Amino acid sequence: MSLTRAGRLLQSRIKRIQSVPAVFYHENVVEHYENPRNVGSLDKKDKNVGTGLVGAPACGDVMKLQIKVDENGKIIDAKFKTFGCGSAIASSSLATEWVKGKTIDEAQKLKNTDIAKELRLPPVKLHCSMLAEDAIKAALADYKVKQQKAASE
Amino acid sequence: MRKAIALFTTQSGRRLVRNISSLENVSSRREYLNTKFHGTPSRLGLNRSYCEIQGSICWNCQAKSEGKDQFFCGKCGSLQDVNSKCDYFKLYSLSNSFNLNPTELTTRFRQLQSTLHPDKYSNKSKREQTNSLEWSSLVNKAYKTLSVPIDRGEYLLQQQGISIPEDNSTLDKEFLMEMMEKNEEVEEATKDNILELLQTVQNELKEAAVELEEIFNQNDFEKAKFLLIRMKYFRSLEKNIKDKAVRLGAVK
Repeated sequence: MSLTRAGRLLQSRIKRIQSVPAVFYHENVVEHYENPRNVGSLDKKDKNVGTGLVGAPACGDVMKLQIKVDENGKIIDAKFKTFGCGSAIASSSLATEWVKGKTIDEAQKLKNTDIAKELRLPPVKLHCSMLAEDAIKAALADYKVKQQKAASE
Repeated sequence: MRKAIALFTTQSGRRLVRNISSLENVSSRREYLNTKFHGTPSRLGLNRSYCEIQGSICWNCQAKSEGKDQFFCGKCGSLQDVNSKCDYFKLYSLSNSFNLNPTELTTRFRQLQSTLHPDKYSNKSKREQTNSLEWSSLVNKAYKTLSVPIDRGEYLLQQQGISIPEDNSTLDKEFLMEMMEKNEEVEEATKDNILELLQTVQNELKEAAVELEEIFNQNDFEKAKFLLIRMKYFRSLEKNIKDKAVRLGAVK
């Protein structure tokens, strides 16, 4: 009798352990998610500021990433605002950290795979790092357009 | 150990068991499905094979399936292996259309679970137990997809070979800006206006669902795709508002 009970107890314990979600975020993601770097906005009308606005339709995420560039083509500030999942927030937070201090040419070379590697993103979340790369590219493109416009005026 | 498992499963699934447990043989189980579900089998598509396995061979008695029943062998009555390519609509004996009656879907869900739930197979062979587990989880998955308009719409698009992209290519800037601003509005919301924001987005979603139904009726899948993308953004906005409302203490 007591043996059956013990067996049942064990069974329910095992069930409970098995019911824990199988996918955990890596600590790097959690760190950026809980303490996001560079959240906020820069003045988008400033000609030295480039704004990238991108989204992931499949999950309804929206991400804004802005860079401020000095006269030597160096990125002196970066800000982001992301409404989306933890991985998207962490990816954009990391992206702003990485582009700061880089030249625009260096920033152009930043790859989503680097972000995914640093954050140890699982395959289903790879598109979040892709989104961050798109955001950087969009911000750089916006900055270049603004500069050309300013030069031609 | 075996006994312990049986005890465990029967307890968790008692509500689903009902009177079908007495129907041991297959033909009466099938009959139960037919009669309990609105009576006329032909209208419900139960005369058709609703999840084509025609020509497949029963793992137990090697009888060839006549394609009448996707779950049980017509000869020996054993529960067949899961057809993973199974179409969710066919599984539920519904036509592949966006319009569906939610009550009918729920009734059908209960019908299916009452014949396929693992609780019914605790004394059966290992293979049938595994099959029942797989069928049952497929039935759950299908229900989850079909019962939510956005997910149902996305599933229909998938069947047309259209998927909602993960990248940025299909979005226009204006819409993204609008969503950014709406989310910022939520961020700055207070206890006084958060529920108002929730109401607004829920109305938008309701209107979009009506429009989606019309678009699907016209079989305009490309248009449906763009509306579904909008709806996904509104759904994620709605979630953000709800989370915020809880944090503000505006709802319990």
